Amino acid sequence: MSAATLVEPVAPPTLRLAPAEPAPLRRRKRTWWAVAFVVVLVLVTQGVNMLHYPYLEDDEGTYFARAWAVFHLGSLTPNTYVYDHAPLGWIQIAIWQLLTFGYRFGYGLASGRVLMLLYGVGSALLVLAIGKRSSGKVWVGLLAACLFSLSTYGIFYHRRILLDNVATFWILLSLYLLVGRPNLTRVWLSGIAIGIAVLSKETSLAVMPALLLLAARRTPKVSRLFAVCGWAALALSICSAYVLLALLKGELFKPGTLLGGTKAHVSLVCSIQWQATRGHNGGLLNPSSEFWHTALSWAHSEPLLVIGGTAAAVLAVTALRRDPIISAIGLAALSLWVFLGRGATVSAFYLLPLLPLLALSIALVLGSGAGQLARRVGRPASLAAVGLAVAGCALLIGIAYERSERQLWTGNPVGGQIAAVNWVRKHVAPSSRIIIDDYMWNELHVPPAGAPTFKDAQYYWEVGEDPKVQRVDFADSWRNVNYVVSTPQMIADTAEQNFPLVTPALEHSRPVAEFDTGGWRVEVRAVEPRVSNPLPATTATAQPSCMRYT
Amino acid sequence: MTAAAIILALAATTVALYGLFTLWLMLSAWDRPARLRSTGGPKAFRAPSVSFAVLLPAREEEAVIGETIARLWAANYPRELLEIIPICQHDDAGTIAAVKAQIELLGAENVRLVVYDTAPFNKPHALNAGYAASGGEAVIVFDAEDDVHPDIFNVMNTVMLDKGVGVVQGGVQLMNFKDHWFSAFNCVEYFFYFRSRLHFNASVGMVPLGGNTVTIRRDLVDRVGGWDEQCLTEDADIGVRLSALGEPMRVVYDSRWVTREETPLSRRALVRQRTRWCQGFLQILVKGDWRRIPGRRRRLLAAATFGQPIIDGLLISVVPLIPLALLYLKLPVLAALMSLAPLYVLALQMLAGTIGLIEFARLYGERVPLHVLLRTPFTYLACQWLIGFSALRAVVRLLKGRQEWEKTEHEGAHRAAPAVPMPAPLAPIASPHQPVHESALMTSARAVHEPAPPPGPQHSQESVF
Repeated sequence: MSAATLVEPVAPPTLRLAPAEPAPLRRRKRTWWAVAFVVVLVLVTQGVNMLHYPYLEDDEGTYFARAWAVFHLGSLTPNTYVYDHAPLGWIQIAIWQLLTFGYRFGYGLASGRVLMLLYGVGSALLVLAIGKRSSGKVWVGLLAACLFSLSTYGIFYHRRILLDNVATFWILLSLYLLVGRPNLTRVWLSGIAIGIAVLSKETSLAVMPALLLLAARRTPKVSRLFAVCGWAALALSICSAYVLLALLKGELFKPGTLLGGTKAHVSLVCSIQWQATRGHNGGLLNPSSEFWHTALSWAHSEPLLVIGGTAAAVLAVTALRRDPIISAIGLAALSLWVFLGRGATVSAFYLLPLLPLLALSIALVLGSGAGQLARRVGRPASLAAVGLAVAGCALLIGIAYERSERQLWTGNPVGGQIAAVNWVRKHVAPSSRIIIDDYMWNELHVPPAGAPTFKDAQYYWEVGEDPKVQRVDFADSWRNVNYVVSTPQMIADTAEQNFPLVTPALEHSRPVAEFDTGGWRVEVRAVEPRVSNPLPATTATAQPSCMRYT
Repeated sequence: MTAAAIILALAATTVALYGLFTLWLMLSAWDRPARLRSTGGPKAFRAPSVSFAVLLPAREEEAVIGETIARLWAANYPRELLEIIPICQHDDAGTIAAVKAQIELLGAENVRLVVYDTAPFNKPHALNAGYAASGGEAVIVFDAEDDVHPDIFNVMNTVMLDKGVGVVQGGVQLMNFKDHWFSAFNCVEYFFYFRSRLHFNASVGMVPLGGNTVTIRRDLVDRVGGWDEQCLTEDADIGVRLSALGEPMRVVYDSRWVTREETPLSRRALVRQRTRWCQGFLQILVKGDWRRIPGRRRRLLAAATFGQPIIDGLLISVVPLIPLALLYLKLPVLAALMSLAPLYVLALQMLAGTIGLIEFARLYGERVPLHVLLRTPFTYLACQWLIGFSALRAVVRLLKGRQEWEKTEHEGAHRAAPAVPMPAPLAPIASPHQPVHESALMTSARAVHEPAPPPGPQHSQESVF
C-alpha cells in the first residue's frame, strides 16, 4: 500500500438502470402458472386411478412391511435383514406411516402409493425448477417437467412403492441445490441430499461424479475447496453410516473370515460381492446381454426419453460441454446408463432415476439450440423449430401410450387382489400357515380394525430362503403348509428358484378361490398331499449362504 | 441400561449438533462471495481525520518493544493524529529502559511512556492507566510483540467514518505455521476466528473482542467504565459490555492489513494461554454482564461462546469413553450409531481445518509442505486434546479460585525468521531521513529507492525485516 492509495472516497457506483418493473413480475407470474400446471398434471397422470392400476407387486408389499417394522418392531425388516438394499428408503415410508397415523386410504398399500404421488409431484417440480434455473426460460423447465410426467413408462412405475422413486426425488433435490445460486450452504445441503439418495437406493452412487464436477464448476475459486470437499465429505459420511450399521451389528464381514467370526450370519460385504457378480453377462459390451435386452424393450416402450433423451445427453456432454449445468445433467444420465450396463441384473424399473435426467437433457438441449437459432437465423425460425420438436415429442408420447396396455386410467387389477385378501379373511382360519405373495403381507399382519391377524402368513421368498422361517413356522416340512396364495410372480419365481417348501407346497395344492380383474390372477390354493401337479423345472443361480436369512 | 443408552445417544447428538454449529461459524464467511467481500477491508482510504491513542501495554518485553514503537511511529498516518503510549509497570526496568532508548533514538514527541505502580499488575490495569493518560478521539490497543501494518490507522479511520461505528476489530493472524507441530492448527484457528467467526458475531451484535488491533471510540470506553482489572480476558469482557450498550461493531479481516503474531513458544505456553482464555471466558459467563445484552439471540450466542470451555472440557472427557461404551455397554444399534455422531463431526472439523490451512497459506502466498499436510490428522487431534485439557484446567482453576495471570512469553519468532514475508513497510510520510531504529532505517532507505511493492502477499525475501 503506498501513500497514493490515500484518496478521497469514490462516489458510490451509479445504480444500473433496473429493467421496467412489469417484466420480472410477469415472469414470476408465469412461473407460478407453470408450477400450478405441473402439480395438476402429475395429480392427473399419476394420481388418477393410481390405487387400482398397476397391480400390487410383491416388492411394494416388502418395502411397506419393512417400513412398518421400523417403528413397530424396532427393526429394519419383519424377519432377517440381509443387506439387499440400504434402509433409508423405507425408513422414509415409515415416517410417512407415522405422520399419517397408519391411515389406510382404502387398503394398506394405498398409503404408500399416496406417498409416491407426493414424491412424484416433488420430483416433477424439481425438474421444472432445474430446467428453468439452468436455462433461464420457464418453457424449458415446463417442457422437461411435461416430458417427465407424461411418460407412460414413468406413470406406470411412479405409482409403485419403489425405492427408486424415493431416490429419484433426492437426486433431483441434490441437483437442484447445485443449479441455484451456488453458496456453500446449498452445496453442502446438496451433499446431504445425495447421501440420502444413495442410502435410499444405491443406484444413486452413479450420479455422484457428475454432481461433484458440477459443484466444482459452479462455486467461485475462493470457496471451491470448502464446497467440493464439504460436499464429498457430507455425502460419504452419510453413506458410511450404512457400513457402520453393519459393523455395529457385527454383520459387515463374511462369516468364516478373520474379521467375520465363525458363527453363521448375514454380511454386507457378502451382499455387495453377490450383487456385483449376479447375472454377470457382459452388459454394455455384449449385444446379447440382459442389459441390451432390457434397454431395447425400454426403447420400444419409451422411445422419446430412451432414444431422444440419450441422444440429447450425448450432445450435452459434447457440443454443450462448456455449459456446466447442461453437461453435468447429460453426464449424470450417461453415467447411470454405464452403471446399468456394467453387467449385473437389470430390472424393468431400473430406468426410473434416468427419466428426469433424460427429460431435462432433451428440454435443455432444445432450449440451448433454440437460443442459438434465434441469434443466428431469427426468432420466427427458432419458434418454428421448437414447435416442430415439441410436436415430435407429443407424437412419440402418443406412440408410447399406444404401445402400452392402455389401462393407466381405467384398469383395475388391484380390485381382484383386494378381493382375494377379503376372501382369505372370511374363509381361512387365522391360525393357518400360509405362503403368500408379499403384496398381502401388510393386510394379513396389520389388518384394519375388526379383521383377523394372520401371524403365520409368510412371504414366499422368505419361506424359500430363510432357514429360520422354514424351521420356526413350518417345521421344515411343506406338509405343514395349509394354504398358498399364488400370483403369476410367485409361480414364475418359484419355478426359477426351485425353493424348498414353496415348490412342493405349490405342486401339492389346488385352487379354492380365484380372482382376476385385469391380467393379474390371484389364486388361493389349499395344500393337499394327494394333489400333484409339478411345476416346470428351471435352474437358477443359488444365493451364497451368507446372503441367506439365518 | 436403556436409560443409559438414551442419555448417551442424546448427549452425543447434542454435542454433534453443537460441533456442526461451530463448524458453520468457522466457515460462514465463505458461504457466498458477497459476504467474503463485505468482511474484507475498504477498497480506498478516506483522508485521515480520527485521532488515535495507541495503547501499548508491555511487561518484560525489552526484546521487542523498541521495534514495535519504531514501526508504529513510522505508520502511514499523520503524526499529529497519532499518540503512542507504551505502558509499563514500575519495577520492569528493562522494558522501561528499552522504551526510553527508543524514544530518544526516534526523537519522537508523540511517543509517551506511562508507568503505573499499583497492583494488580496486569494488562487491563495497564490499559486503564494508559487510557487515563491519553488523548485522542479513539484508542487502539496493540501488544508489544505485534507486527502492525503501516496502513492500519487508515483502515480504522476509513471503517469508522464509512460505517459510522465506534468499535472496529482488525484481523489478527498467527503466521509461523511451520514452527511447531501445533502451530499449523493454531494459525488456522486464528484464520477462522478473525476471517469468519467474529463476523458472524458482529452481524448478530455480540462480539467478544480480541486482545489487540481493536479500536474503541473514547466516549464508549468512558460509558463502559474501561477495562475490568479482575478479568483474565479483559478484551472479550469489554466487547460484551459494549455489546450490552447495543453498540454496532465492525470486524475487518484483510490479509494485507492483519496484525501478525506468533504462536506460543511451547506446548506448555500454549496450554497456559488457553487456560487463561478459557478461565477468562468462564469469568465472563459467571459475571453475567452478557445477560444485559439486548436481544435473546445475542444472549444465546453469548452463552454459547462463553460456555464453550465447559463443552470443550466435557467433550475431551467424554469422547474417549464412546469406544469403551460401544465395546462394553452392548448398546442398541441406533443408540450406538447416534453416539458415534460426534466422531463424524470431529472428522469434518479436521477436514475443514486442513482446507483452512491450505487456504490460509495460499492467501499469504505460501505452500503447505507435504509433511505438514500429512500429519494433520494427528496434529489436529492432539491440538483439540490440548485445548480440551486447557479448558478442563481452567474449570478446575476457577473452582479453586486461582485467578492470577499466566503470561505468554514472546521471542519474536515471527520477526527473526518470519514464516511468511510481510509487505515492506514504507518510508515515513513526513521525512524519510529521520534517525530511526536500525532495521527500520534499512527498510525505509530501500523504500526510497524502490517503487512501493504492490499490496498483497509477497514472495521476495528482501521485503522481510
